[in-house]
Amino acid sequence: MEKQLETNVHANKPVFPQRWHVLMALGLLLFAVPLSTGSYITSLFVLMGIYVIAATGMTLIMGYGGIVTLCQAAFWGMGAYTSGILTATYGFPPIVALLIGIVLTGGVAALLGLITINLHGHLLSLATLGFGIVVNIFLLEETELTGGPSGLVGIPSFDLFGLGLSSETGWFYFVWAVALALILLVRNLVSSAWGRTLQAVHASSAAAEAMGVHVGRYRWQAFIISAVLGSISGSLYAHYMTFISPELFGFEQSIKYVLMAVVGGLASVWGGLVGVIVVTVLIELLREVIPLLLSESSAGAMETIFFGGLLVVMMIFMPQGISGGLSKLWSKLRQHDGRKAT
Amino acid sequence: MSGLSFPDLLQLLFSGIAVGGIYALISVGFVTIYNVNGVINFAQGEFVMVAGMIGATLATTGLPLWLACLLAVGAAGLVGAVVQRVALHPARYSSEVVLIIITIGLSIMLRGIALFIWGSNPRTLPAFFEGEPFTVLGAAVPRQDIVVVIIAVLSMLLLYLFFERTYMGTALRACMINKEVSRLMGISPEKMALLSLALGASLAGVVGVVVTPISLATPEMGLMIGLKGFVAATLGGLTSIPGAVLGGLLLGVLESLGAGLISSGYKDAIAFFLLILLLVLRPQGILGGRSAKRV
Repeated sequence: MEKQLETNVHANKPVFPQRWHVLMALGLLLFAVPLSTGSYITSLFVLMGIYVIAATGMTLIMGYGGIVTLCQAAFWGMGAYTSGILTATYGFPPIVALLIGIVLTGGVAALLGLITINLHGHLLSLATLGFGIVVNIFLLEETELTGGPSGLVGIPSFDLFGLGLSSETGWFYFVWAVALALILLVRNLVSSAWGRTLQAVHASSAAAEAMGVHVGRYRWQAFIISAVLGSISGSLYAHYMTFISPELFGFEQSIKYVLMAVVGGLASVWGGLVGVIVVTVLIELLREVIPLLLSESSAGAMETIFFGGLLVVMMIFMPQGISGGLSKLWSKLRQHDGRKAT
Repeated sequence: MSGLSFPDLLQLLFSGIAVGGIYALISVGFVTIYNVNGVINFAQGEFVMVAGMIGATLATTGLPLWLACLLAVGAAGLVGAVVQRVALHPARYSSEVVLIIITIGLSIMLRGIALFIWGSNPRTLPAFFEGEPFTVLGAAVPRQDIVVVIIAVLSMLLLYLFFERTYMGTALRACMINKEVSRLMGISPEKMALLSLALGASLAGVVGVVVTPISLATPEMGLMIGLKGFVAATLGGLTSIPGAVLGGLLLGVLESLGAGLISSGYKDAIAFFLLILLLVLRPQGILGGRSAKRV
C-alpha cells in the first residue's frame, strides 16, 4: 500500500521500482558476463560500467533537474586528470587521488553553479558548454601539468588498500559494483524529500517557488552531485586506461553523455544505464556493419550521422527515452490486461 | 608580449573588426531564429560550414567565383529551411530542453553528412581579389578582410531594408516581437518560422563563403564559429538585431586584442570567459534594458 502511494507522489514514475526480480535477473546476467565471454567483451563492459556512472549524473541533472548541461565531459576530465596527475606525477594512492578529484570537481561545479544555475535554459546550456571548452583548452595548453596534446601516460591501475585490480575480470566486478551502488544511491536520493522537491522544481519552478522552495538551491545541489559522479567516473577511466589525452574530454564526449541519458530515458535513474548499454552496443554494431556496406573510411562519418539523427528522432518521437517508452508500454499492457479481467 | 607598437595594436584592431563582422552576421541569424522559433539554434555554425564546403566544391568545377558563392549561400538557406520543416516543425510544441537537444543533434548530423561527402580534408576558395595587403597607418590589412567588412555591411543594409521596407520583413519582425498577436493579424507563425531559418542559414552561408579564403573550410569548423556567434548574440541581449551586430563587433575586437596581448593559445577561451563574466554582471546583454525572459 505504501509503495503504491510512493509511486503516485512521483511526477515521473521510475521504470523498475517494484520489479526487483527483473533487476535481480539483470544483475545475475551481468555477473555472468566475464565468466562466459572473451576479454574484449569484458573490457567493453568495464568501460560501459565507467560510462554508466557519468551518464547517471546526466540523468539526474537533465531528467530530474530539468536542465541541459553540456560539460559533463569536462567534469569527467577533471576527475581523470586529477587522478592521473596525482598518481602518475606525485605518487598519491589512487583512492586518495579519486577523493581529491571529487572535492576539486565538486568545488568547481559549486562555483560554476553559483554563477549559472539561475540562468534561463539555453543560457545555462551555453555557459556550461563554454566552461567545457575552457577546461579543454586548459588541458591542451598547460603542457607542464597535463602533458598537453600528447596526453598523460603511466597512470597506475586502481588499488584499494594494497589489493590491486590486475585482471579485466577484477575491474569488471569492481566497476559494476561501484556503478550499481551509485545508481541505488541516486535512486534513494531522488525518492527522498530532497529529490521530490527537485522534481517539483522541474515540473513547475513558479509553483515550487510559490510553495516556498528555494528553486536555485536544489538545482545547484543536483548539479554538484552530477559533476561528482562525472569525476568518479573519470578517475576510474584514467586508472583503467592508464593513458588520457585532452580530446577524450571535449564537446563530443559531453554530447555523448547527453545522448546516453536521452536514449536511456530521463524519467528514471536507470535511464543512464540503459542508455550507455544501448549506445555502446549500437556503436559496436555500426562498426561491424558499416565496413560491409561502405568503405572503411566513411565509418566515422556514418557513426556521427547516426548519432545526430538518433538524438533528433528520439527527441521528436520518444522524448522520454527507451525506459520511458517501455514504461508507458508496460502500463498500457497492464491496463489492457486489467480491462480484460473485469 | 608587452612591446606592442601602435601599428601592431592597429593591426589587431583591424583584424578584430573583420572577425567581428563575421560574428555579427551569424549573431543576427541567431536572434532572428530564436525570436520566432523560441530555440537557440546550435546548428548555426554548421550552416556556415555547409556554405563553405559547397562554395569550395562548386568553384573547383569551373563555375565563376561569384556564382559559386551565391549558389552556396542559397544552398545553406535551403538546408536551413529543410531542417526547420523536418526537425523543428514537428517538435514546435516541445519544451525548450527538447528543442535544444534537437538542434544539437542536427548539428552533429550535418557535420557527419559533410564528413561523409567531403572527407576531413580542408577545402579552400581563392581570395575574391588577389594582391598584396593594404597598408593603413603602418598596419597591414589583407584584402579579404576588407571584403569581409564590405560584405558584412552590405548584408546588414539589405537586411535592414528587408525588415523595414518589405511586407514580409515587417511580418517577420512582428512575429519576432509577438507570435500570438501576429497570428491574430493574419501572419502565419509557421511560415515565418520557416522564413527565419532560411534567412538565418543564408546569413551563416554568407559568412561561410567569405571566411573560406581566409581560414579554410572543414566539416569540423562549425562548432567554434557557431558558438562565437551565439556568444555575440548573448552579448547583444538575444532579442535585438542592432544588439547582435554590436555584440559581434565587440567580441571580435576583444578576442583579437586578447589573443595579441595575452595568449594566442587561449584565444578561444576568451570568448567564454567574457560570456561567463557577462552572465554574472548583465544577463540581459549589453543593450538589453530589461530581462528578456520567456516564461
